[in-house]
Amino acid sequence: MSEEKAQEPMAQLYDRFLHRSAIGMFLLALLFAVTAFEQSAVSAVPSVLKYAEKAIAILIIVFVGPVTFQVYRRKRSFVSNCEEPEGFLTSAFQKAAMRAFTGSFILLIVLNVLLEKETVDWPAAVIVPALLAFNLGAASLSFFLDNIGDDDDDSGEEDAA
Amino acid sequence: MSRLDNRIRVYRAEHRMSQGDLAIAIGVSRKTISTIEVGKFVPSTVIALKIARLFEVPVEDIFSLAEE
Repeated sequence: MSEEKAQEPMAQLYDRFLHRSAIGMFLLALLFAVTAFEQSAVSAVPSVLKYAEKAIAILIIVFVGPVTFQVYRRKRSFVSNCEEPEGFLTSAFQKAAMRAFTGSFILLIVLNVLLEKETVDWPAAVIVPALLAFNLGAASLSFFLDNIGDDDDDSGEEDAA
Repeated sequence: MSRLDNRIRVYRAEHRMSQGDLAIAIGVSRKTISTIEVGKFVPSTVIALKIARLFEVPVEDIFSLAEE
């Protein structure tokens, strides 16, 4: 199994890295959402949330850590013949980041107006993690939505027959 | 509005190559090949030239602009 992974083409490994990164971003968004909820909660926060935070943090490390290390190691060992493989997922990731930035920017402007008018009275300890949760959540969901379908794996032999 | 048509599937069939084979040959992922084939992803000039070079045909034989 590890030998198969070692033979994995760089482009395929990089796609896996982007996929895992998006999953990690989604989990991180959940983590920030939990933090924002904890900060905004009036009553005592259930202790189960503390365990959930730790579980999410461990999941992020387990999902993203190994593949990040593999990409880093491959780049260092010059096995890859290109610095950053271009492809559909790289493009989808960049688009998702751009959409998330745009959404967060608009949200910041709306929040700024609301805070100025004193319509809302949230402390920074709530707003900052909530915004981070929105940004990371929007980027990861946008990435996943772009990747729905189009995964046919036909062989040349079938086509030629 | 222009749309980029391609004949990658035809050339793959002629050369008896799967999407995975083509992806490895030109150094991209299989997902990239499948999304180019269905027109969801417009490849860079470098990818288009690599595909054309692999099949030993001019790039215009594989990619063409269709007016919508």
